[in-house]
Amino acid sequence: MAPAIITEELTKFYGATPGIIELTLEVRAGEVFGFLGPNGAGKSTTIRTLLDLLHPTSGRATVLGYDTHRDAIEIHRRTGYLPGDLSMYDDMTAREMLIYFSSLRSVDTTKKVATLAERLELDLDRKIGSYSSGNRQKVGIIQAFMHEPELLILDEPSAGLDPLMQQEFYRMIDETHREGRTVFLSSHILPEVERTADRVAIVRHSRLVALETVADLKMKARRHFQFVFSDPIDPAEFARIAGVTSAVSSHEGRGVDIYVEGPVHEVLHKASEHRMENVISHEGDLEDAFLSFYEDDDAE
Amino acid sequence: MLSSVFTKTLWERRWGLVGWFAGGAAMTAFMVAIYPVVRDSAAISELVEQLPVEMMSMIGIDPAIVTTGFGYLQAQMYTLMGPLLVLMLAVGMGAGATSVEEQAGTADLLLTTPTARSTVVGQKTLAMVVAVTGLVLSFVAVLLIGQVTVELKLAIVGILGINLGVALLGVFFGTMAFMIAAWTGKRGLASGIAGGVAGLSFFLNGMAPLVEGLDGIQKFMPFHWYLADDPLLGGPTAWHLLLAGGSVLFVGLSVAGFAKRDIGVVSKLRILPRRSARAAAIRSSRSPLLRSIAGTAVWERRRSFWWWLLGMVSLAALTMAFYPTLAGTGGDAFQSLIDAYPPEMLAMFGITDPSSILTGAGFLSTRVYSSIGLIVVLSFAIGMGRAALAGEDESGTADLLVTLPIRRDRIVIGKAAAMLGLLVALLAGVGVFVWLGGPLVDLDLTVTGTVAANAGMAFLAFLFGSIALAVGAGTGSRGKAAAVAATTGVVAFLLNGFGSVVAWLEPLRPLSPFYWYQGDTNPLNQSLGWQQPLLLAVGMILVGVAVLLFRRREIGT
Repeated sequence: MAPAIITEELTKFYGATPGIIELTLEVRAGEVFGFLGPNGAGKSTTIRTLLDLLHPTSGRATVLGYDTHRDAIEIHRRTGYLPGDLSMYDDMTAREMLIYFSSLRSVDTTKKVATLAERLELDLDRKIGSYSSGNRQKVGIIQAFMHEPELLILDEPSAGLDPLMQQEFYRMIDETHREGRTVFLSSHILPEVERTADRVAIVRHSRLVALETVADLKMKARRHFQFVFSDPIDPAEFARIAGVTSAVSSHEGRGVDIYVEGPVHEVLHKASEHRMENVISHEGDLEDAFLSFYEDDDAE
Repeated sequence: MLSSVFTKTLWERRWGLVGWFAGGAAMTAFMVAIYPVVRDSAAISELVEQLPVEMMSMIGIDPAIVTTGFGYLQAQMYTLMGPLLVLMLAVGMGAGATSVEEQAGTADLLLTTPTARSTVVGQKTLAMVVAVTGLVLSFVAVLLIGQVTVELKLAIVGILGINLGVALLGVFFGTMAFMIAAWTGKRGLASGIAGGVAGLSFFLNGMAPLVEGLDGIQKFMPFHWYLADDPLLGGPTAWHLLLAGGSVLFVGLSVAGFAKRDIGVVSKLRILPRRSARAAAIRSSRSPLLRSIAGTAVWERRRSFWWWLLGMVSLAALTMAFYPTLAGTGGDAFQSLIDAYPPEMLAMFGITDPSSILTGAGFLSTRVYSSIGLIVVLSFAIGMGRAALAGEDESGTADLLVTLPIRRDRIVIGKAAAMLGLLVALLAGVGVFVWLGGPLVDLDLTVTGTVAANAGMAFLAFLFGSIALAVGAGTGSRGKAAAVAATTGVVAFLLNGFGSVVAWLEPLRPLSPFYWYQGDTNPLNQSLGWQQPLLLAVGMILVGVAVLLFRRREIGT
């Protein structure tokens, strides 16, 4: 199947201020794609450019095989969009707004809306302005899902949802995934991405800095070993090994705590030269990987 | 600039205020520049000697002094345009001072800082007073230049008096709007009541000298407190103390009301009993209007529309109610003078067909179709035009609307259609009311004239609403949309009025949509012809411009 989203050196400047610079990536049809990055990295700019709300300064993009500007209407028809900064008609009830949008989509969503509202435990007959932020977010989710689009573009979708509703929302994404539809999800919440996404892109300072599977990203993450030996040991033996970022003595000199980036072979080889009593290995997690992409931010 | 509520309120409006001040100065400059023409006109001097006092006073002119700087400015600037400008600024700021922050939710942040609510009310009021003062000073600055350049020969104490008066009038109604918003949290209600009371008081004050039985109530009218005893001649008057005192009272009541409010909870006070909210919500959600762009734009105004219609119908009803008295008392005296004066003079004051001024049509036109009513309908149209695209862009809802699978053109056209539809409905309502009520007071309206005036006004308003729509489509800014449309409207209005007296303006006069609307007669005597289709066509061309601009628009930038 053709890719769901292709961007080719997609660039958007606001005057002299960069939004996103030369973004090239491909989202495969049927995958859940995580789009990560710190605040102001260019995530929402990218999404709003894909949806023709903004026009690229240079480069191009296609969504579901369609040109983002020329074929915007076809894209909109097949896409559900949840904005990151969600604004709705405060003087309408949720039901009224959903009727309005369904009419403009020429789709009868009555049944689907009822099902979604029940799943998300939302009363549709209140003014949108009177909802709490969590309930507003539910209205936003319903309007993105109600017409069962081929592609969902969700900008920080679980913001404001309570943990139970977040779980329900993840199940909705899983179902969408199983049905072979595509989800493009921008997020800050790592467990959310870890739980739902197949692949992730990370943007920082308006540029793509990583594009890989969640599994690969975890693999690259810094890992943490805690060794305990029978005899005292000098942590400097480990600190010399390439990839070791820190080696600290523990267990009254008999142990050593090590953080490693990359292959662990050398570390384990060195450890095996000694009589080992115990080893605890912590799985590298996405948060570590994520932070390692952010860390040099402080230096700038 | 951001160290207090006071400075922040002014700071966030800095560009808007610059626009207001520039507009105020430009309007005054225009008035002052035209003055030598009026002063040196032989026709006008002659006329002054011939016209009866009643005739002149009906259109707001004191014959003894019409060609003096005093008389000219009093009639041209300080009875309608000046107060109108000041009131719009003051009531707008007063009504929005706390209610906008409540709706946006920023009131929660502001009021959880260690700032007393009374401080917030006090400083926001002060900011409004300073803004109004700035606007009035822009008048004063130009008048002082006029003193030197065109010899207005005004007393300095008079300049002080009239401008103090107009500023106090603004502050009076601004604080009134503030008070209503502070008690209810409703911005629309606040500006509606304060604006309505101001309009009514303007209307009754103008009628009082002409209609027996009304003179008793004149002294209760804030407009009377402002203009009584000619502050432009003698400086500040004791009446002005009433305006100041009333303002202080309103501020006190605002503080008391705001102290009690549950922030962000709009008062449930209702004039009419209402079905349960649930039932109403479900019922309205079945409305067929919600199924299209145009329908929903109408649906959003399903309540406020009736208030606009009520306002217009009330204005027409009041005007018509006074007609028999007026025609009975002064009719004969006026009639004999019709041949004696030059039409250009009255054209300048918005009365373009002197021979018809004593007819029902002419009389109704001066109040409803050429002045206050026209301003009301234009405000409605410009408000709708700027909300249509710029409003959605600013509030962020455009993100959802524009990502629906419909062409952007359809959004623009739908919104424009709703605007045109509501304007036609509004003027149809007014037209039917006037037509049915006319025979009761012997107005003698013609079918053609009634249709021409109402269709003309609907299409004229559509034209200016479409300007706001187009500017909103291109910029996404409600402020710019309203400013451009309103400025164009004022310029076009003055161009038509002054074009009939000032020789070098005359060739430009046919460019003014107001010329198409009323020509050299009053709107209710206008013929049905090319004029109304032209107004509609230009409006539609502007919608076309809006379509082109909106296609290219980057939402939210």
